[in-house]
Amino acid sequence: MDIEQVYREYHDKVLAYIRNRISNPEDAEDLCADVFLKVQQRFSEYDREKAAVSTWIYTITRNAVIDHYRVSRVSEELPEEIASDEEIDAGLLQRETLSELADALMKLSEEERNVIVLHYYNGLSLREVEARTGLSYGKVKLRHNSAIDKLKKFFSDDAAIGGGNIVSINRYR
Amino acid sequence: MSTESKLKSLFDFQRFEQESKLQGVIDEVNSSYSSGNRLDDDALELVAGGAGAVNTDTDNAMFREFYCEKCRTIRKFKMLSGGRAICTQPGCGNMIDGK
Repeated sequence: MDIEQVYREYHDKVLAYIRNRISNPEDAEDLCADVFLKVQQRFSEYDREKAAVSTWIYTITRNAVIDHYRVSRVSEELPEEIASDEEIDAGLLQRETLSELADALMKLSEEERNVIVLHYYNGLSLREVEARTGLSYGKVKLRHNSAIDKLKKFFSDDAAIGGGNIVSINRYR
Repeated sequence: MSTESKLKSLFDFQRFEQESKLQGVIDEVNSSYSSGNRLDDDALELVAGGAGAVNTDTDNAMFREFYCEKCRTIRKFKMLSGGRAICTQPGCGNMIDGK
């Protein structure tokens, strides 16, 4: 895959992700251009043995969004899902893992699944999940904890999930 | 990495990848709360911020008093679309049929 193919295949994904994270459309367009400049500059260093192209471009994009918040000190808060400085396992960020997560979520009860998606994907606090679902706060916490216990087994049972080579997401900054 | 961190990372990666099977699960959950089951943004703000987030004294048309099962007393409820109502007591968020 050459750089032009990468641009054609990933431009829309990168822009959609950035627009999802940054409300100003002009800033989003500028950041998208910055991402592809970095991709172009580092394309020769990209090691397909360490991460899929998609994972590599995602990490560059994610770090560009984090840097945007840090450097421009915009009034909006950095989304919690990407605010952590914790190192991310590159082995975890694979398309197949997302499909396997879908299977694992379908094995949860409906209430557990709803709490996990609303909390971790939609970014609602557990109190907001309570309001959204109509479950009591105590039930939301119980469903959250039981779902996490089940998903912990999912992550530990599959050696391929989260057990790959630890690659700091920061190295793609 | 903790399970919670892995989930946050994977769901963020999903925003980029848009993997179809996982997106189906997400869409199904969100569609469950897209109409009658979903609170409007004001109600979410109310639950998150408590009664102080809304001026209950000056906008009485939007509020009615009901018995709150969770608070076990009469409380002021904010009227929502579809005839539903939500308790304005901070941290309560009890929803009832306000018709």
